[in-house]
Amino acid sequence: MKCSKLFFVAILSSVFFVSCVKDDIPTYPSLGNYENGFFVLNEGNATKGSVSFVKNGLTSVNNNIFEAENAGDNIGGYAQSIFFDGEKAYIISNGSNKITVVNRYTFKLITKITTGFNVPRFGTVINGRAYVTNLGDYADLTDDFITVIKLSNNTIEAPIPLATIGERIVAINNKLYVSNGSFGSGNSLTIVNPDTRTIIKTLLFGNSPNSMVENNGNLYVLCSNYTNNSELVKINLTTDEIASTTPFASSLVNAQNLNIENNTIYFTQDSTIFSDPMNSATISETPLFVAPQVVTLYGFTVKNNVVYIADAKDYVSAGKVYIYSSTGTLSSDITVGVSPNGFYFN
Amino acid sequence: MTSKKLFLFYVLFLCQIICAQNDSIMALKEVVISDWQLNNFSNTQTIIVLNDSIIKKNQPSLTSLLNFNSVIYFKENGLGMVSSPSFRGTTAQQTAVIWNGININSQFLGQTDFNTITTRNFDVITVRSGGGSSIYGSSAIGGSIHLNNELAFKNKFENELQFNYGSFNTFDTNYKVLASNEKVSSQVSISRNSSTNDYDYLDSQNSKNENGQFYNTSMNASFGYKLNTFNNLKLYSQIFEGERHFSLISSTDNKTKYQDLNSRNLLEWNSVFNRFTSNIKVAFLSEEYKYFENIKSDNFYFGKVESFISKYDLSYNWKNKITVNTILDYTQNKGYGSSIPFVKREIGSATLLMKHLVFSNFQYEWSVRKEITSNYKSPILFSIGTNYSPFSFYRLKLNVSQNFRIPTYNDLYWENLGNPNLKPESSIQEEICNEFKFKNVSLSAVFYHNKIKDMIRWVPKGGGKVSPENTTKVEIYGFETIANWSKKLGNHQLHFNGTYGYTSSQNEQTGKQLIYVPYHKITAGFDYSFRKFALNYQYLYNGEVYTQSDNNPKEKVDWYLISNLGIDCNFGKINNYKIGFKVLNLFNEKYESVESRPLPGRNFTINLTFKF
Repeated sequence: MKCSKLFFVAILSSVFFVSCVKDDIPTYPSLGNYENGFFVLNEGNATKGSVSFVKNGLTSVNNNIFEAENAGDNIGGYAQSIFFDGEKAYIISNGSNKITVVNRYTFKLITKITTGFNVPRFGTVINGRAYVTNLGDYADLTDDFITVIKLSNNTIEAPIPLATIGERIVAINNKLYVSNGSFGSGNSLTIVNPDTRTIIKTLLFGNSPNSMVENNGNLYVLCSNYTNNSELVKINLTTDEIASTTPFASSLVNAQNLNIENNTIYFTQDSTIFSDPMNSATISETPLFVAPQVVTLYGFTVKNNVVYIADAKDYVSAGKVYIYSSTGTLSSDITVGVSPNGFYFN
Repeated sequence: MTSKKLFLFYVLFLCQIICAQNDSIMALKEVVISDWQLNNFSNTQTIIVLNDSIIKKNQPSLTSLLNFNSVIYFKENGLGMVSSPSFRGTTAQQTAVIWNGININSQFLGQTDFNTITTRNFDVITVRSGGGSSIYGSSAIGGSIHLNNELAFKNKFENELQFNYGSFNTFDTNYKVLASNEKVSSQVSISRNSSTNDYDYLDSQNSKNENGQFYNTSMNASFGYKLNTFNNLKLYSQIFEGERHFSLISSTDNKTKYQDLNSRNLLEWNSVFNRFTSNIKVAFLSEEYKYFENIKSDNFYFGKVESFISKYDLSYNWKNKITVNTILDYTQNKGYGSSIPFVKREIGSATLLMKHLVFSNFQYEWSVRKEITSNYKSPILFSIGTNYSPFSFYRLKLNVSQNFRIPTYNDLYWENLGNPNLKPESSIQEEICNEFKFKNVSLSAVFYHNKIKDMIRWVPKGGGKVSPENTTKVEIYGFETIANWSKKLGNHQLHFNGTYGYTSSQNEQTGKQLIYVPYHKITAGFDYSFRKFALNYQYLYNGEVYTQSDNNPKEKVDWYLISNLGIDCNFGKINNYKIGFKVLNLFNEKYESVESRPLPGRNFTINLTFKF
């Protein structure tokens, strides 16, 4: 009897998923179709981006899950990033100046936040308020600001002007760390007190920050541009001072996508993946591996010793996700939406 | 059989008489256009001539005129917004727009925005299909569009005022004055087009075309002065100024706008001595744009290029059987912009053309051009073709040409991203054209093949950086047919014209059809007139296009079929008043030519024309 029930569930699941479920069926009540896997955010075009979901164990892949759950709707153009708060996922569309709020497990639409933005980029949450960086005009590097959203009723509160570029944002110890770098411009990081909505201090770097990761009481910031040597800046989160700066070899110009796991740092340069032990005095020029299939590395994450790469290809065709072991053995490739740019684990 | 032979003889004989007569005169013609090669070196390719009466019947944008009257496909980001062509399956930069003989494609983009050309400023617009780089230079790969003003040296004083008012508060005005005698000829045309352009989208959401308003003002002036029977001077001037707000995809998008300011001036001296015709041209062009990424702020991007062109064109004609023509050209561009440092670029070129009428029913022509510039390596451009008419009703044209598209200012000089080592895109094209002409019917069928290499594409360079490279190879083959039929029965006049194009344009590396190139396009027009009353019907079928380079069948812009119906009535003794009414998109088709850029449903235009 149980066996046939299982069979029935498997059949039913295959209706929802492209391929059959072969893993064990969870015994606890399901929160929705999209738990136990990861999302791939696909930037898309000016009209619409999309979200793909890959189940753990790569047993199934679903593209366009927002449209599948909310017929006739989309998440807006140029989907930039997602941030989470409890059961809610906030999907930022920088082309359409809006955030689509969904349940992270069912992907059913909860609401849309459509005011208070001017090319929103990244967001984070502290104490019931979301803080979202905005690029403003591309031509103006001083008009960037943070949109403040009270999440209980999604009202927009007074924005926090940055007077410099505002791109990546993380919340640590009830403070906001905002990287002031975009496409090689801007060489600093702003620390903001969200309660007083004032800038506590600004740290200056020798190059432009593009990614940052908190690890063991420190914030690591990878800084690079198209011409100068890249550098890794370590910020002590107790003192909010720069603890050290590690310069990269000159061949590693424009290093991107800092990840840290198990005391190892990972970063990329075009389609080449590098790794080094943390706190090493120099950064090795020897790659961890090269991903020859990857045309346009557009998203990169290391999780549980697995390397996830999003390939945007020519930006006008379906992108791919490549999954490698930490030694560079390709384990699978998955076709996703247009211009995949990030991974979010659920 | 004998009658046919007789007819053939008659045609040939008559033709020779005309030719002989022409040869003996060898003076300047009464009606002249500046683009001399268009009429003299286009005998082995297909030409569609859209004259004044066709221009007037259509909406004033060049997009609309060509969309309904040629095989060229258009990609329009909403009505009046940015519009780019695909001619014979090529890219937007591979169609040249020629203003009175001068290539006016943007130095920044390599293409012309077809919604920044007001057709009513021109007397005749010609579509020349296939390669033309050896005469017209960069971009004449798919074909070229020729905007010409005619200057006539005869006694004339004519004024024409035309008003159009249509849906979405669309207001188009054109005033044209012609004043000429045997010595002096002048023509001035002023146009103003504007629209609130807030049409409803034909979907369930009750949404509108937001932020789509536009206006433009343009003036075209041409003057000709005959110094004597053998010498004349001509001056052509044009100015176009326009502002377009770009319509939104989603109502929360930032509102943007774009301003254009283009001016073109051309001075020309023609002289004829014995069998030689000499032509000296000096032109000064200026193009300028401003793009506001958010109309709420004052920030904008801009670019400006000033071009100076001088040409010496000498041709020799022997008994109208052999024509040899040389052109020396020097072009200087000076440009700069928001992300482009000041760059001066100089290009020199030499062209040799020859046409030989071997028999009265057989001619060949060829042209060869070489450019010299320090900016890029330039291939030898050529065109060679034959025109053979074995029967009076049939003509066979063959043509092979090598053409190119030079890298643009953006491609070469964009700060940090431009690639100074780019080569021009180059193409080899072959075509066979069969033309049939009977009493009331003419029909042409063209097969062409085109291989394009070194296509410039902005490719990802890591870290979100893109840079142009000569990467893509494209192979295109296609078929085009153009049909015309006319009949006159007493006071009833009937006319039909139609075009059909089949286009396969594939990326050689992937084997996929290029995005936004339809396999099929059909146009048709039907005209009926009876005394002072005229009716016209236009039809356009555009096949589906892929929007993704992987040709994902789910990501397409659907095919559409639209029709326009117009009725005109003339009044006055010499038909000096006209009132017209037009229904555009008669069947209220829901359509778009670019993804998420809906075009308007059924809409109306009323027009009044006064001649005095």
